[in-house]
Amino acid sequence: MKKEEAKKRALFVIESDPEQSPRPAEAVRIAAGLGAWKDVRADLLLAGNAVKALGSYPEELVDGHIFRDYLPTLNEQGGVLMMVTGNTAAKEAFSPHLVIKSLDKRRLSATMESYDFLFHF
Amino acid sequence: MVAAGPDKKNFFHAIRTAEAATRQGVEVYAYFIDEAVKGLGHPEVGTLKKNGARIFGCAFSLQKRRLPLDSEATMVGLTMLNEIMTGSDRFLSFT
Repeated sequence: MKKEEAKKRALFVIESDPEQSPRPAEAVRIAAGLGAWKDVRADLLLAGNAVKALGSYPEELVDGHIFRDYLPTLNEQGGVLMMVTGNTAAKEAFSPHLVIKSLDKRRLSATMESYDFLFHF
Repeated sequence: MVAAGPDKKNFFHAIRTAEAATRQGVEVYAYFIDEAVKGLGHPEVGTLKKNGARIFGCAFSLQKRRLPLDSEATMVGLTMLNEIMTGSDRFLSFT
């Protein structure tokens, strides 16, 4: 039996630096794990240095294999990967395997308020 | 859900919030993940359990940190987090 569309939405706001901290990878792991059950759609908003996780060589980051393995999975689950427009913290081109949405910072507050669950890493 | 470690204020904010809820007769489920699993053996978590809260610990987080399974918590995966999030009247996260 096919599952219905996800009914609730969770936003993981990630601001930690994946070059320094394991928290971004842990956030991605949790998001992908939740999304797998299709009860909750998990989206990510990568802010500041966290956008480095979207790069083409995630293995160089703390627990980088998680970004390589689970970010595409999040897209496949219907999850949205977002970054704030104009963020220049990424050191390399984004992975071509990811679909990334750019979010105007003027819409940040309204965007976050629209979610059922909010996590900050 | 508690992800903040016991060296962070948010860990204790979570505990105190859960305590207040149990005193009001609320059915409390506390899911410890990431750094928070280091605090599963904290006496206040034990007290929380004695006062009726259901305590869960993320098995992956414990294994990653080479921590032993803790008798105060039921070891679970993200499936339980999904159940708690979708089945609760109110969900709070302390990261």
